[in-house]
Amino acid sequence: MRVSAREQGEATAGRRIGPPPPSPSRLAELAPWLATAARLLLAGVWIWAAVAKIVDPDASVRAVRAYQLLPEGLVQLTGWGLPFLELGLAVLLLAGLATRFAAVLSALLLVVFMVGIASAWARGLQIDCGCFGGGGADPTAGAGTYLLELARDLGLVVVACLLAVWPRSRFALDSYVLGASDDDRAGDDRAGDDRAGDDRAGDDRAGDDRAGRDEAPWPHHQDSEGR
Amino acid sequence: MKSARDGTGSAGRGRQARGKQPWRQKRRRPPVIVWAVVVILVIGVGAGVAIQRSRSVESTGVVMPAHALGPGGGEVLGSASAPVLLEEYGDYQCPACAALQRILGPIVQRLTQQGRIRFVFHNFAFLGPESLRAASAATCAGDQGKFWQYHDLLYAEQAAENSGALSTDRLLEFGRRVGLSDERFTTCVRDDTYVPWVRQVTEEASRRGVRGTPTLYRNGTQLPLDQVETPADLERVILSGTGQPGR
Repeated sequence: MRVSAREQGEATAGRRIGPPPPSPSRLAELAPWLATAARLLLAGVWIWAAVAKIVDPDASVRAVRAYQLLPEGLVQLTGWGLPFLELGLAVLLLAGLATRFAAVLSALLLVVFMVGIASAWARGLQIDCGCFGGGGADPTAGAGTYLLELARDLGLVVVACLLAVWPRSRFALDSYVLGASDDDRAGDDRAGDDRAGDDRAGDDRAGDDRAGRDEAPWPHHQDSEGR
Repeated sequence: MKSARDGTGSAGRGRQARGKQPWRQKRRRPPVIVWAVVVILVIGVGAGVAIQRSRSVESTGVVMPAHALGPGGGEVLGSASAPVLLEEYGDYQCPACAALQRILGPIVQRLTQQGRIRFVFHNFAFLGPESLRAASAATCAGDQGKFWQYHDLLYAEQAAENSGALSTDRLLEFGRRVGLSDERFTTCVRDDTYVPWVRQVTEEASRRGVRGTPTLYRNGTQLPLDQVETPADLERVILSGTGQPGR
């Protein structure tokens, strides 16, 4: 938020906090690049996860089955279909298309994975998470393995959430595609007015806790979240 | 969160001042692109499922082994009247299987000859393409009554996983070493004749609850191998079903 107030032409006088070098305006410049980095990181993880599973559909099905969570009918569907969802997310993030949507879906999927891993751990199963191919029994699986996997996924969830809140990034198709995530476009269109972008971030977060707003909830936000 | 809300509050005024309306209009409904992306994702995942299904065992033509197999499509040693049915699920590339084989092999040989157990070997070829090919080749050997010799040789000569060690030439060489060099065996190995069948039995094993190798079942119940340390332990577990007594 401070970032926005710092922009020229706006309330410049108001806040000049902190040491000069990482000046807020520079942060504002950096933010889209960080978002691009986040996109690439998540896309890389998804591609890795997807390809490792797609090459061996039998193993993918076995990995899902090892969790002993889904009925047999859904085990196959998940083993075969999930990697393509991951691949789709990778493509979207790589292209920077519908970035906020892809980020939200990434976070949701990762949370589902975390629930699965935590549940396997809680039930005393000793399995490989099958996150990047493989899967099935892993006699060495213990608290350390599961904690590490959960921590890794939590880290990725945080990255995905940050990207969902600030989806505006460099090298993103969202900036060019007509009708693309409006806020993302707005951000790029008003290159000299970063304030708009930051205000939006504020809006979204306010929407998240749904507090202190007498206006209707933001339909856009609901849509990207509820899917 | 609080600062965010504050920010929104003050920003709200500013926005109102400079054209809030168009903004609000835009944000009313989710962007078309999101809907388009959702549709494409659903189609993509559906197509993916179809592709993977077509690659799955269910869609490949399975050639059943020509020789007789025991319960669950496994290779059998010993009499059907033995009181204990011991089943092993193994992968020829699995180091733990090779290690177990060194202990289990002699025990199985003795106990089956004594009529105390019936032993069944199942393929659980989950470690990659070379596991499938090796299991197929062993089944080719089984067609001519040389399954166990070939099986023992594969474990004895185990190399690093999917390192290219189990090439066609190597599999044929193993055949020669157990006395198989005829056209029938050669063709069977070259064509990977039983790979679809091996995939099928591996899938069936997975449904049964096999998650890795080696896995032993005693009269239908999985044996806990983590408590087994010595050959005596192993024999006790096989015969009595528990590894606890005397330890």
